[in-house]
Amino acid sequence: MNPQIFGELKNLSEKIASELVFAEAGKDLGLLPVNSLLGQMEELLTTHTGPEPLMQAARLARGWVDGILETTGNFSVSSLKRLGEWAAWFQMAVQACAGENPPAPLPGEWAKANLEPDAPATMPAPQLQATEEPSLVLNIEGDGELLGEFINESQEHLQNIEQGVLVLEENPADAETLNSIFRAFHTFKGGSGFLNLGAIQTLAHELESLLDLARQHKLAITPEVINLILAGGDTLKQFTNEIGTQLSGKASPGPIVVPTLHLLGCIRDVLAGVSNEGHSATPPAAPIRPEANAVVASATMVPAIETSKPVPATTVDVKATGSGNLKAVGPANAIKVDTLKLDSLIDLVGELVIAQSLVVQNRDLNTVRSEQLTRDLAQLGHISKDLQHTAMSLRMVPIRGMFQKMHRLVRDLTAKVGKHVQLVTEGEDTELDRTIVEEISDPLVHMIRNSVDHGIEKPEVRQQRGKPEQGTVFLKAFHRGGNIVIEIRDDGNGLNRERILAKALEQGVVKPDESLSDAQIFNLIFAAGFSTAEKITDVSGRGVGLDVVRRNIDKLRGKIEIQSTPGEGSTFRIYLPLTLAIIDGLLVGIGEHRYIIPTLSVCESFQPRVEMISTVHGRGEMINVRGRLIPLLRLYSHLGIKPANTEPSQSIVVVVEAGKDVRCLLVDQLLGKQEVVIKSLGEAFRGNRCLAGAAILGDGRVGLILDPQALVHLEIAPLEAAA
Amino acid sequence: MTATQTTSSTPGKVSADAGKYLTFTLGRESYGIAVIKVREIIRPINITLVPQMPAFVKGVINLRGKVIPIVDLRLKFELAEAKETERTCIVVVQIVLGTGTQALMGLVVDGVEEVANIAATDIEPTPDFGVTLDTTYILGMAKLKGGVKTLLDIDKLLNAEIVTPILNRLENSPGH
Repeated sequence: MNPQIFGELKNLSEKIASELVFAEAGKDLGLLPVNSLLGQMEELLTTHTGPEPLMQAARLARGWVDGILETTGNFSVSSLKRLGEWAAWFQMAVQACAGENPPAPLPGEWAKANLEPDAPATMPAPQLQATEEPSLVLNIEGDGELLGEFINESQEHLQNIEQGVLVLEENPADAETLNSIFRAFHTFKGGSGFLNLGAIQTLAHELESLLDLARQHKLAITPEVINLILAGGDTLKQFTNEIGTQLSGKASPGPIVVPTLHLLGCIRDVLAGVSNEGHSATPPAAPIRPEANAVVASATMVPAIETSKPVPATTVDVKATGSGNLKAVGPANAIKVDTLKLDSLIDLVGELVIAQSLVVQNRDLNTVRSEQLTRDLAQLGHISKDLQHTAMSLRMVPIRGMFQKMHRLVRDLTAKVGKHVQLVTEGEDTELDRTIVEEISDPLVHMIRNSVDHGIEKPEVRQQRGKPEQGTVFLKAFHRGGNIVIEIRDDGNGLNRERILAKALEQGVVKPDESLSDAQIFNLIFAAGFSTAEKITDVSGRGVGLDVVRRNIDKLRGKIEIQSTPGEGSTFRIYLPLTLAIIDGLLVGIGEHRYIIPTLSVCESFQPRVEMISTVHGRGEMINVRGRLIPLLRLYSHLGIKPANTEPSQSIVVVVEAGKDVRCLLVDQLLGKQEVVIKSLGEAFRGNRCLAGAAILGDGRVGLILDPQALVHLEIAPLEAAA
Repeated sequence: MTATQTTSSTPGKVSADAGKYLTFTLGRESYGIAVIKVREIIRPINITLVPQMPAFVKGVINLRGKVIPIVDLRLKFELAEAKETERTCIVVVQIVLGTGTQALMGLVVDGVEEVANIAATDIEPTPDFGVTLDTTYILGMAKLKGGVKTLLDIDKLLNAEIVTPILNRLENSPGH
């Protein structure tokens, strides 16, 4: 047979699959097209003597379709399901034959089964098939855009599913949630069918049937069912992640294989269990057989890896949620806008405000004595301020979505580490910049993991200590002083000051004669490669992670504070800016130039007296700030500009702090505090580490933002060169 | 432009396409850049100095809310620095960086002349100056009635000659 025929066969089977997507049980919609497509297929196969497995499969399908036509003339749930599977199998088989490989064997149950009209009691006994896992091949060229949309939408659906499941755990009978999960799977099915993603479609279909039964009160929502739904959601997520990476070109296009058969088997077991129960409206107990439960549990824990392609493991799950599309559930009227457009809108509004203030301050205009003009200008000022406010709020999203993900995380973790932990969240409606929400997700996952794994004690230990057996992790978000604070508090063990210090000494992070405050010691846990966990567990303890947390938070220009009481628990507070687009800056002048220092890292500023300044070897300069000696950094010499003053006692010193390093920066004058919109300096200045970015100042000129992180690491220039 | 990038490094070949070029002066010399690359021409405005940059990087300006770097072409071509006159302007060009992203950059020039339509027959290959002059970013020489204009491959000039050296310099710079 020539390749063209295979192409046509594949085409036909795809058409059948898409007809089936829109078919409904109890209706005949799509039945006739399927019938005629199948006829064309048979004709092709017989005239060109197709491979025996394909002929056999076609004959089977013919039997089923004829069966339907002869009896009710309508599709049934089981016949639709069977035909869907068949179409998926057939597509795979055609592909295999075209590549001169033997196709997967026909599932044995097919041959035995005739398709009856809806009579669930006689559904064939489900069995786990040891057939090959179906793989997906994307048509990136043709469907690229559609696939992109599919992925985007999927992320929302996946999130709805996950959030819904967590609600179901609390309240299994919540009809609205059941409906919303059902709809999510349903949409998944439709989309994947349309795009010919057979494996996804099959899985989504089974999950949809599961939810449908629950919706009709034929299936009780038990923990096993919830695990199934979650596992289903995770598998779908793996699929979409894989598709996403291929779409973005990060992975070379190729077949996507995610194990589904196992899960499908479990779901079908449950479905079959329900049908075997007959039509009793509300089965009192979960109709699941014990062995199925065991299988499900293992499936949720460790996604079976049976493929040559690397299958994303649980860690990937975390990453995916980080980049996920965060959207509050609920009937919010929202449209999606390209962030580039949003940014340029915000840019322009910023410029409008500057232009407006230039107009208001215009000298010629100020000589005009007109009440009308004054009123109009004031009105213009109000409007542009409101406009700026609204533009800024466009990027803000509530933190709710991320908190909900943490519920899921804690739920999975507790099962893994054998502890009872509940997560209590507060302040879900706190809004912050979308970019921050995305960036903070990974660090937060790490911190929560740490709290659950290291913080909370084992139940027996807790009992001994007279604490409730169930540990609690509090996750709170709130505003404080122009910042967003995310607080993670646990009622566990607390940090072990001595152990951290001992470990730090052993690793040479601190010197034996250094005296450190509690806060400084606790901060050591953020050093790279630092872990005090006695044993490395699956969850955490390898010492990677917390340094990443610190780095991510630094990147967001936030800071982190730790409080801990031994035996009572620890509190981690992450301070974050409201938005990445704006920082609160201290405007300083050096000579004719103005620079902005982020206020978050400024401790204090003052004019030093002569006796406060001392030198080492006549070179390294230090300032005695209330008994603490802090190195003096002459900014002008590093920036290569001419200052008004080189004598520290005539200038101002700004004390900045980054990590555990502190420096006194020498500047000529303080020009004020200002909120500025940060702009990137672009590729050309990417390597200039002293600068964090630029900002447009009130007069329309560009001011450069200094990066305290880099400043504290600058070498202190010898005094001779500086002076 | 794809053809120009592959062949312009071999002197003796004409790699410039015929078309519209914006011509400008630097001292007594005259240069041309493809009009398609030019975004706008603005009067000199306040330039904010960026520390630790080569001299030819004058700094950054605020172009309606966007912060863009400014390069002094005179200094880049090692001509004497000129006083700002009323003819001095900044030509804002859009270039494609090595990473494939687009970026705006401003070029300080002594004065803009005109947009000239240059025919293929007017373009001469770049003479081989030997080692004394690097001509990789020169597309060719255009003979016009006003004299000879040097046609510049602005992408190449700004990428290879400016962006990359800045990056290298900064990455090797002391202090980090």
